[in-house]
Amino acid sequence: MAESAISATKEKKHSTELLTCRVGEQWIGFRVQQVREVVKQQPRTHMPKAPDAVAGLINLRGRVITELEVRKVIGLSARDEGKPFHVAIVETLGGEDFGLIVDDVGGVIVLDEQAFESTPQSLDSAWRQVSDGVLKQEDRVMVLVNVDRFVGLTVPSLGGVDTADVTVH
Amino acid sequence: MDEELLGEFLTESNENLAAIEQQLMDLEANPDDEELLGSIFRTIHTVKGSCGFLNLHYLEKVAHAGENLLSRIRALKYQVNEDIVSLLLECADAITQLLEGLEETGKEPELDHSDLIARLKACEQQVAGADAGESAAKTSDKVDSDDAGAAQASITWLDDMDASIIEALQGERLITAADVIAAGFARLKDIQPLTSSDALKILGIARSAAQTEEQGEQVIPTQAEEAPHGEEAVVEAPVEVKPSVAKETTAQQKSKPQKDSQTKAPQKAQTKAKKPQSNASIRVDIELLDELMNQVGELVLTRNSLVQMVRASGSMDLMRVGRDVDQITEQLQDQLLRTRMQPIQTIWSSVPRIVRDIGKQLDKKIKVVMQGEDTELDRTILNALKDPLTHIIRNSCDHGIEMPSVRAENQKQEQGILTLSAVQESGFILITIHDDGGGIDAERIKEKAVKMGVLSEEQAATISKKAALQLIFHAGLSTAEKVTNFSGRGVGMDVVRTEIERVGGSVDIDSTVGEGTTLRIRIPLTLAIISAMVIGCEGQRFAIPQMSVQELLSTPEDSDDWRLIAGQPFYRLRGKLLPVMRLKQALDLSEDDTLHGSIVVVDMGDRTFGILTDQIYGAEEIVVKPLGIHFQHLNFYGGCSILGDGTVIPIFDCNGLASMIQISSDVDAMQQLQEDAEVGEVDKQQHSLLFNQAGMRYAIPMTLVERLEYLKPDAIEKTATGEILQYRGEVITVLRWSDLLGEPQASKEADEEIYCLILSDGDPNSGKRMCLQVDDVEDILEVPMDIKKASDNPLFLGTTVIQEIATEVVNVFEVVQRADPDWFAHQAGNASMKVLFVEDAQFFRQLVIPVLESMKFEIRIAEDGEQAKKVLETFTPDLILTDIEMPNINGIELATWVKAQPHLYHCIIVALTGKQDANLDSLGSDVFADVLSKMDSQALSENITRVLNEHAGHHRDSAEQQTSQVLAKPPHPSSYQSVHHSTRQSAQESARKVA
Repeated sequence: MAESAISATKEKKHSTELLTCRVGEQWIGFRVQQVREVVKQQPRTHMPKAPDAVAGLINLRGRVITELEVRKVIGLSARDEGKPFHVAIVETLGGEDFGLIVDDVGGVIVLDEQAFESTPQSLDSAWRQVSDGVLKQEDRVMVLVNVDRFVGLTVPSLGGVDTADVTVH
Repeated sequence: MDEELLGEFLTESNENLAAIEQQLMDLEANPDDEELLGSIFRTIHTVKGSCGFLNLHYLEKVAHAGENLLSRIRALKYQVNEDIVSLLLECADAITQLLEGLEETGKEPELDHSDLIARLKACEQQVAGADAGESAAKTSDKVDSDDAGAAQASITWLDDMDASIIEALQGERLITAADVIAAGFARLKDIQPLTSSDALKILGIARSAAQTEEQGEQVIPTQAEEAPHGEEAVVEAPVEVKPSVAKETTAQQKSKPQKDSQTKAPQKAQTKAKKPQSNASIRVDIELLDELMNQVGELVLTRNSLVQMVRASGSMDLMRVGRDVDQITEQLQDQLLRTRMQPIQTIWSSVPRIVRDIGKQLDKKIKVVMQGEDTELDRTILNALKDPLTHIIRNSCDHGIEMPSVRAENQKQEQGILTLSAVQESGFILITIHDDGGGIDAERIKEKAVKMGVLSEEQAATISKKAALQLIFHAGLSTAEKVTNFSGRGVGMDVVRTEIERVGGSVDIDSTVGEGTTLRIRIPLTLAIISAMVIGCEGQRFAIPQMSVQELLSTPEDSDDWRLIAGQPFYRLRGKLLPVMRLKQALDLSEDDTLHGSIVVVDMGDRTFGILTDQIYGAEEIVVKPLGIHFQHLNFYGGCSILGDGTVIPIFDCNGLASMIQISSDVDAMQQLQEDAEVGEVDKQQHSLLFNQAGMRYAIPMTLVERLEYLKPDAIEKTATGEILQYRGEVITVLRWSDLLGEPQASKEADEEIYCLILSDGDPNSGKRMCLQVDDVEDILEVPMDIKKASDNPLFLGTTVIQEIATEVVNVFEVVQRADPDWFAHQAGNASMKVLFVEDAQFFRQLVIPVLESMKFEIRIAEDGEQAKKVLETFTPDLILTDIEMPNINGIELATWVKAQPHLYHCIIVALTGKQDANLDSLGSDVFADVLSKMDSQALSENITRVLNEHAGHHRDSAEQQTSQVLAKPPHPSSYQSVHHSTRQSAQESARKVA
């Protein structure tokens, strides 16, 4: 993907900050520039017949945002009823914001360029599709998630195309 | 260049040019209207004059050529034809185009109009040549034709003078003002047929004309002095909104400066610094306005939450502030919405021109009629409507309206009429486009649809006419026999529908072969805020745009009106089967297949269906927000909104929902079959109320029964003239059935409630009501009414058998007339009565017309039978008044002809004679309802009223044929009854036949 190549070169020049989140056992990172904010559980409107990954719509200070359940996209089992979660509000190149539901939020780390590696074949295939690379830390491997590709995966009519290619009406 | 002066010039020119297009078309219709021609000439003349001063060369050239042509036409009183008008329109277009360029960039665009100019010149020569031929013939050998052309060229300064004088001057070769001055008074007065005063006058005009020519350039600076007034006006003027003009202009300025500096270097600095502003208003970028609109939308939502919180707090102070915020927000929203509103005229104004051009190209005669031009719509919607509307109009002109020859063959006026109308209907605008053309043949559409594979043969066989017509909105279906310049490529109507639906509207079509086609577009007033019905289903709320909601029904599950066909529920609503969608199943919310809850009846124009849901909360104004990319493929969602409590609510798109209910074509077909069967049944049946009185059973058709009331006996009060009942603030006459029959009232306890039938003429405003008191109401049944035995009593139509019991069928018309002999007179005197008056003598026309006018009829006049026939092609009167003795076709022949016309069968024809004591028998003809004398105005008015009264019921009858076949023509007021007894009997006969 051209887009990821650009961001990769960018990252070599500037150190990038990542927001770390946990989904199931997997730690993932989002580029801080693409994260608007992290919010707690919001009252949500279920949308009948929406794609599987869509948890519903939330009202974020008057803006309507589509919430996506990361666990669903990745193929993990549903979260236990009543277990708290966080929503990372991310921005895509297509201009639309999405709420990504994660189990937990770690913190912001500065990307260590030395530790950044290309996505290994051993990574779970679902993660591999959305990974821009992995970061090996002492006890864990963190996946750098390409938000646009992630969202693209959840739109059935697009069949996994980046949201960057889609102009929001 | 002087900016203020240029601005002033643009404002003035734009104002004038805005009208010129219409003026030119009016001129085309009335080539003799000199005043109009003068006004057009002055506009172009002013433009040209100012151009010279402002150094606008391209503009000057075009305007000059146009002015020359106009001045020639004016001088020669030449009758303009279509070609000349077309050319002049083109000239006006070119001027407008140049002015637009000038306004946007501040400099004159370099547009080459030399071809147009050449054609204008050629046309001018042609006009001159044509006239030269004429005048040459008139003035014989005095002037040869070539010279005459030249002579006429500059004698325009004398256009107020008599043609003979101008001719004479030409003869003397006194062409220009200078020539005339040079010739002097002495020579002028000797020229025949000029008198001394003529000579003086001509000399005076010549002097002032010569002066004007010299001073021409000095006139303009006075305009510059007036300019400051224009600036003051800016403050008060209403804001005119134009989309992103500012942006475009900036872009153009950015891209052009280099070119500018090369071509017109001295002007460049000024142009960049300041753009001339032509209108007394400011322009706001539509994006800014949209942003404002969004923010106000947010404010409305925040206000909603605030108001709820304030209410919960219970603090009086807070409540007061809350109320203020509430009101201010509402006003703000309202006014902001209004800034975006524009009259539909803004997109309609181009229609006459489009129609004219198409008409000319296709050799068709088409007139445009517009109604409701000032209806306002949101700008975004207007813009979105422009293209579809143009397309529809082109279609109507191209395929709808027939060639004049075809129209003539079909007894239509050669000129087709295209009617555009717009009306506001509770938050929506209904736009109707009607043409009186050939109509669309549903069968042909079906054929084509089958050929294109859109429909299967079976579907085509079962589809209704209306549904078939809607197929023209299907991609790839165009019924045009050949492709023309304007339409017929088979893309279009589907695009029209898509475009209209995109802005939340709907469109449907109706057409009758030979009579014309009507397209109806329903559009929300504004896109951003809509009124929606909030419903609840499985604990979730959804919104349905109010625009699509036709009605709400509460339906118990055990209702008899449910039908299940192939698993698809239908609800029987007024004799039709309404397909119903179980919302919870359609949205996969639940497997529950019970039929409990409420139905929202949704009308999509071409189809109506019900949405079965758990609750209906009510209507709410909501701000529409778009949904994200995850919902693009779900066409039943139209967007979402945020309710007062902060909850996000999905908004349905009823078009999408409608497609969900198309579960299978089998169901559709079955529905159709079922519907047809049921309708057929309904036609033969009639709702009737059965009641008993003294052991006899009576049936009264429900046609006039408005309500059945169950009242205390003392509700009926006695007055000097009879019994009355106070009903809904009115006093209405009470008749007791027992009294009508001449039987004693059934004895009842004083406090036992009695049945009162409220009979009404169906018009809620007219207030014609009466009460019929009956003893014992048995049932209301839908029963076939088959009159077995006619009755001699005018109170009854006859006897029928209902549920194996002989039942007397009550003649409702007789009953109401017993209560009020003028029951139908009210309708006869109605202003909507149409009357055709045929009379060849001017004297009698003048005598009778005022009488008809005083009776508030809609009147058409024909001078003989021949003309009357023409009028009757397009006018269907209720009453024809005709003279007997007339040239061409006389009154009896006319009446006989009218009686043979199926669409005129209900016309009442009355003969008017000059004899004092007119009577029917003297004519020996039975085509007239009556013969009246036209000599006595007073008697005539009374007699017409009487005749109408006698036939009023007949009228009603035909209007309500569908529902009241068994009702005979009502009897006439008793004073005439004996005379017309035979008519009554034949009416009853016809009633029996129907039954």
